[in-house]
Amino acid sequence: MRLTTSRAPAAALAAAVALSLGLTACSSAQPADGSSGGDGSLSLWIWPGGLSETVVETVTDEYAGGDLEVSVIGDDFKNKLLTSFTARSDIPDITGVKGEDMPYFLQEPDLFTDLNELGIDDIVGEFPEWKLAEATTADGKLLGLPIDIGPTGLFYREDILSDAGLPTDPVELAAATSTWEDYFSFGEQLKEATGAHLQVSLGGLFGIAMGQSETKFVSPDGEFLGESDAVRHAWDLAVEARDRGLVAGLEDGSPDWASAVNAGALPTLVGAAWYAGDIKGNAADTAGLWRVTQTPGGPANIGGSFLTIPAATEDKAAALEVVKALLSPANEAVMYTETGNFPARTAAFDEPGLHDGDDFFGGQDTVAVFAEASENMPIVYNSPLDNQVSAPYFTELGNVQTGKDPDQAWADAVAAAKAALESS
Amino acid sequence: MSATVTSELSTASSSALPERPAPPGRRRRRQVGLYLMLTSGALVSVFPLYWLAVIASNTTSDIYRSPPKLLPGGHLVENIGKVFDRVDFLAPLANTVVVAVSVTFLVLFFDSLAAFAFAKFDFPGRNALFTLVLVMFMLPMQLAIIPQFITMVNLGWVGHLHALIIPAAANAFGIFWLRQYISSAVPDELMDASVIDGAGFMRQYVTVCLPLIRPGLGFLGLFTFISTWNDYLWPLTVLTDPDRVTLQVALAQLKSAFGQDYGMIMAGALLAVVPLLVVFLIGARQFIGDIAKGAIR
Amino acid sequence: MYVAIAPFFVLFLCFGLYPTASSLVLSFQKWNGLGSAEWVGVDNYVRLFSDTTFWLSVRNTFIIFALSTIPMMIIALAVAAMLNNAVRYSTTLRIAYFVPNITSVVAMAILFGAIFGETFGLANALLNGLGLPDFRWFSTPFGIQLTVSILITYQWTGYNAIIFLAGMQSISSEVYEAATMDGAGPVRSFFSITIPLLRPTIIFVLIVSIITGLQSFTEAQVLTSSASTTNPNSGGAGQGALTMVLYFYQQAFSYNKLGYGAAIAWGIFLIILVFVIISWRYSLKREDPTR
Repeated sequence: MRLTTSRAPAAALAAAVALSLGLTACSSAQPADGSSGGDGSLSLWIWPGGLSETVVETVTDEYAGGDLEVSVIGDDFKNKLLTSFTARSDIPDITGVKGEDMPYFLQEPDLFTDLNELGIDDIVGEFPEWKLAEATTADGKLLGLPIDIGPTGLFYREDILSDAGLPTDPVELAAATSTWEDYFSFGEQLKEATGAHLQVSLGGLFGIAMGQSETKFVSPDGEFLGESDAVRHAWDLAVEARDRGLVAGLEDGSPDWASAVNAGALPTLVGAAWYAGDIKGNAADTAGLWRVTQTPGGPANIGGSFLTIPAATEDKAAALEVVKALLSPANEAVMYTETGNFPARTAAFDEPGLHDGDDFFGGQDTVAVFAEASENMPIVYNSPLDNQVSAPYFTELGNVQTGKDPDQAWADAVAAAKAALESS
Repeated sequence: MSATVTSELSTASSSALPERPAPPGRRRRRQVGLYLMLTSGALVSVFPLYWLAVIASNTTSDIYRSPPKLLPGGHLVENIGKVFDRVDFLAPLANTVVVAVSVTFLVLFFDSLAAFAFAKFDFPGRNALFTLVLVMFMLPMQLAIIPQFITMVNLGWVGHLHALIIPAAANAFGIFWLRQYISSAVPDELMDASVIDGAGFMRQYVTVCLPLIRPGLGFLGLFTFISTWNDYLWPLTVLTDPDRVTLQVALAQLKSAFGQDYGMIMAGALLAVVPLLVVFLIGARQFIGDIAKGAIR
Repeated sequence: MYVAIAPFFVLFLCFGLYPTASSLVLSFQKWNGLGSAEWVGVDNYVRLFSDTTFWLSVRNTFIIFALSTIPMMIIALAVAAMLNNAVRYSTTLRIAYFVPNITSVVAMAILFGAIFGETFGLANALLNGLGLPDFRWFSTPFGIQLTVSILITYQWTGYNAIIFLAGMQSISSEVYEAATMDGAGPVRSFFSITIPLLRPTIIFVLIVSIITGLQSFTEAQVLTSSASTTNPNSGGAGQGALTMVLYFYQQAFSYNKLGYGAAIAWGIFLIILVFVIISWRYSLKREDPTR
């Protein structure tokens, strides 16, 4: 900014404003309209990896009504959606909703379309009842159709178990670890033979055990369930595992975790179907050595997601067509092979190739394992307050991991959880 | 007017500190020690960027190898290829350049104007208004996203790049910084002299203030450019069209729900940081280098 | 004059006032972000005052602030003084010191994971090599506070050094020459000339560091993000890295308590304000005797 005359600043100001406005005008010549303007075009919001790219491309090409404009939103997906809903502006015609956010959006069902009213009788039976329940309001409105589910399994290193003289066949291992008690005994043998840990963290074990329970932390009436038998049982399991020296005490997904998985120091991992992606991504060298079987103590669900049609969408029928296309059995199968998201639509299991086996798992038919888990899944009520009421338990179990007295930790967790419930 | 004087003085000042008549050997040793420390500090500083390049040229499972890989691998082209497959890179890059350049120039102009007034003139309400600037600097703006978005909806700016530019065109930090800088870098004698010459506010701003505060502007410009370049949440909120986003918003799409491909993500981060480095290198003599030739009172 | 300062205030009136006012109103309401807001008076503030987690976050913030700002100021001053004396390659060196500030914080977090990983990290390998036991960089509250502080220091030292350098460059060389004549060495000149004459810049950096340091959260967030689904934005082990703004994020955006979040935000503002006023007063008082 080397200016020489006294009128230069004003000129510079004008130039600067003109520059910015001019540049922005030419780069945003058409108004960006997020809602369907009656021309048949539809907007869809999803987070990265929420849908398979191939499926999105196929459906976009096949959609005859106009343009299907897909926005992939990296971080802060819920914040962006929330802002649009609050401003009642630029709401997408179709949007993904993550499983953990669904209880929150269920509080305001009027923002979404009740899919039951749009005619989905032909396909709704092909989704698991327990998963649909997660997107259903108390008075029976169905706000979303599930994209994927997160049934859990027990992932294990066949080679390490074999060296330790432990069962390696999925069916045999499942039988030997069908209860948590059996699993812990198995873990002690494993540790004796290899020095490896059975579980990643106390919080992880607690989360799985809570996922197996039909009740969570808050009842449908808003009552506090943080001292219920179910919560206490899950807590005690975690503490027992620690007392028996079976917990590595690492943060799931951390570099230490990844190093341990690579080094074979965590030969057993309990996680949802999509957890296989974490293992594959972080420990590619161990390909072929892994297997998977049923979760000790029964199946749980972690994660999963939905497609919803906001109430503001003009052409709901067209939007539903797109949703149906995205979730067709063939496309759900493509999604699984491409992203590892486990199909919510049971009909997808019959698609060709789905039972061909996974090389990372030594050619094992992993789909059958998770499909079986899904069939036995409990139906649970997830309160919109669950996540904040449950958080203190995870915090306190982290403290137990680093030496806090479990009884004191339990008392503190219950107190903090009650406070969180009262304040919301 | 002061340009030649300034640069002469700066060469003097650069070597001014160890000017004590010391034996040449000792002086050299001191210089060697200085450069040894400076260079090791510089290497520590550059290491994260080097590491970024290491990850960007390896696969994800290489990162967590024990001991970790410290040398670049052969996957850079492959990872960059994946970035280009997944996201549209050039259009967001152009948008980001437009926004960052516009915001930087507007901020430099508006902030220096206000800072000059606050630093060198006494007017009723000056202290109260400056306190207000400081308070605004302290205001928690994290919650502003929703109401600010509603403002943009009402103005019809949603989806347009000026929704990123105009609200950012002046900021409290820059005024605070430049006021501090101008107070020490622009001598009152020069101001008085220009008043005797009959210069008004604008002329003083242009002929006295601006030439002397280029280093201060340089720093603010650099800082504004970087923070605008890296901004994420507001661009994400206000830009709705997937074809018309900024670079950081586009690159965030590289993350996935699980099993992060860090090789690809870091290749994207590397691509985003390279233009910044280019701006640095081009602007270095103008901006950071200028600090060396800075105002001498 | 008023025209000169007008653009900033006009922009503030247009784009800052409404959000600020609405967040103030929001702090007296209960709102989940979707439904209608309910007026609750000062309930949020009463609860804030007795919220032990909030006070924990205040404590954490001040610990991290002290652990990062003090070393950062000292190292930045030293680096600036050295850069001020470097004649050759000075521009290259300056750019190098600025680089951590432009390197993506996510990349820094991965790097820190590899360096400070407790069982497989380089830092503990180094400690063991020196005959010292492992340090728990992530799994204890103090460990995570220290790790976050190191990351903050890493990212912002060069930035502050450049500001200090700008201030040092405006100190006339004649002052140094006079000191040299009196027989003062570089270290003495630094303490008897550079530091006193740099006071305005030091105060500026201090105030800015207080404001930004007490609002820090990105570093804490990325270093503790692995538990993000079950326990989001909770600040890692023992909530040690739960800073004030991270707690605000957790309440407002993870748990959708936007009204309470707004009250937290205003609580943070008041704490920063008090702290800035105290240090401002103190630094002005200190300035007087030297006049």
